[in-house]
Amino acid sequence: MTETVRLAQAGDEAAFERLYREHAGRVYALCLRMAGDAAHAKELVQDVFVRAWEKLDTFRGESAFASWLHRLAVNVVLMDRRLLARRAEEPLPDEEGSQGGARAAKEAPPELRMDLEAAIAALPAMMRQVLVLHDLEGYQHGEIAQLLGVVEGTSKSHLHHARRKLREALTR
Amino acid sequence: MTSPDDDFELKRALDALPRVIEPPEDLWPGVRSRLGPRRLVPWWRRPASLRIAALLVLLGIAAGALALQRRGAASWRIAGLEPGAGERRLEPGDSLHTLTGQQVLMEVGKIGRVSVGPLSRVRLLAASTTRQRLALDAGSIDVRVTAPPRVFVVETPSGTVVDQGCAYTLEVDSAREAFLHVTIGWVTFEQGRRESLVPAGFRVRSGGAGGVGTPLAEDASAALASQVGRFDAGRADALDSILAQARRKDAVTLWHLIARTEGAARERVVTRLATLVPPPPSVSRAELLRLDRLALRLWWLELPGTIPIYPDWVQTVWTWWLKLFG
Repeated sequence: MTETVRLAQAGDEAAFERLYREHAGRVYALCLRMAGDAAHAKELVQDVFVRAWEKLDTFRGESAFASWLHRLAVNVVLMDRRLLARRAEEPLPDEEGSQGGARAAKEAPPELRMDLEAAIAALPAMMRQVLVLHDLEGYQHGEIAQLLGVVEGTSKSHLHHARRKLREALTR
Repeated sequence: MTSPDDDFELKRALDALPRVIEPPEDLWPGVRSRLGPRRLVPWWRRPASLRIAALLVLLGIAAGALALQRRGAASWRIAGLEPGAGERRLEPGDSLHTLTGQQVLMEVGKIGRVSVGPLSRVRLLAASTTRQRLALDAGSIDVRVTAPPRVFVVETPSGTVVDQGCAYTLEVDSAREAFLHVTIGWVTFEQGRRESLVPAGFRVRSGGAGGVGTPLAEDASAALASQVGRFDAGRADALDSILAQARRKDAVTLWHLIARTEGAARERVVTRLATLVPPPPSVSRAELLRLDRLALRLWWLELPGTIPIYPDWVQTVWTWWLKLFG
């Protein structure tokens, strides 16, 4: 455990800011790709670091701080997704053509100008999250299924469809 | 259907995406405005350094408790003084005199107690976990100690009484002669190179020309006691009478006479003792006559009323244990 983390755990805001500066880019990239929306990603980044501040005492140094923060960020993003779905009283946007994908495509941020980034952002929410977690963040299907509350087969199916859509988008 | 080349290209493209994207603006002010005060973290969930600090504090407390305990062994608490006198401790170098009819109880660290009888004078010579040393100059003491051999020692004008884990009474009279009566365990009474092993149920006198005397059973006849006293005073002719009067219960007395006689007299003692208590088969007569230490100890174990003599290594181990943890 680094001295900066120890200081932050003791309540030192300056130390926590150093942690923010060090890890914000990684967290933002994750939130941006998972949410597919730059404005929402910025909110999520703030949520992630506020939650990290509150939960710092649970970090015991068994893993790297970056890994701990990354997992926390994934949880925050997925929790946000569930809250959004509940508020809208709609099923989770896990089907093709659902509004998550439409919103993402409509509000594609400037950072997603590359075709691939734009294609990822345009994926339906569940497909996008499975793809990001599996192909970009290295999670296994078992872990993804647990995080998203689905069975492994569903995770594999979403990944398969997500890759197919990306290929189609890139060959257009 | 997709070709493997398509999958490979897609994977390569995904791998090439940057894992770090800096936010378009500084989000820290927004984060900072939402940070509340850190909650107090329970000690068991704090970083390891704090737990180590807590462990060090506990070790410090334990060391302090140990030091206090050892300090308790460095002086004796005195009880039984006049009412309202408060607690008094006897430090090394201090002495205590008792008055007519006065009985004083002293606690010897945590290993036992000494009751000082009326008109007695005692001096504390040393007090530590592994060494408690008292001098009895006059009067009487009643001792009850549970400790490794040789930790508790009493000096008298006519010899040193070394506790081997026991209870006994010791008296020094006006002629500076000492009388020891052991009630539990056993004691050695030493003066110079002469030593008597006194088990429970035996008594011994020390002083005068003979030094430390020969132990006698507490129910020994007056006639035997008289002859043993004469023998201790240098009258070798008392031996015949002693050998004739000795019972099986007096075997300890005869055992001591083996080393206190020579030549034919020693042979007669060994012969008589062997008729009362045969020596173990592993011990030869020749070994006994040449005062072989192990042979004598093995025979000692066969005598009625005796208990094993500790090997020296037992005392060494026990003493080190006391030094470390006592």
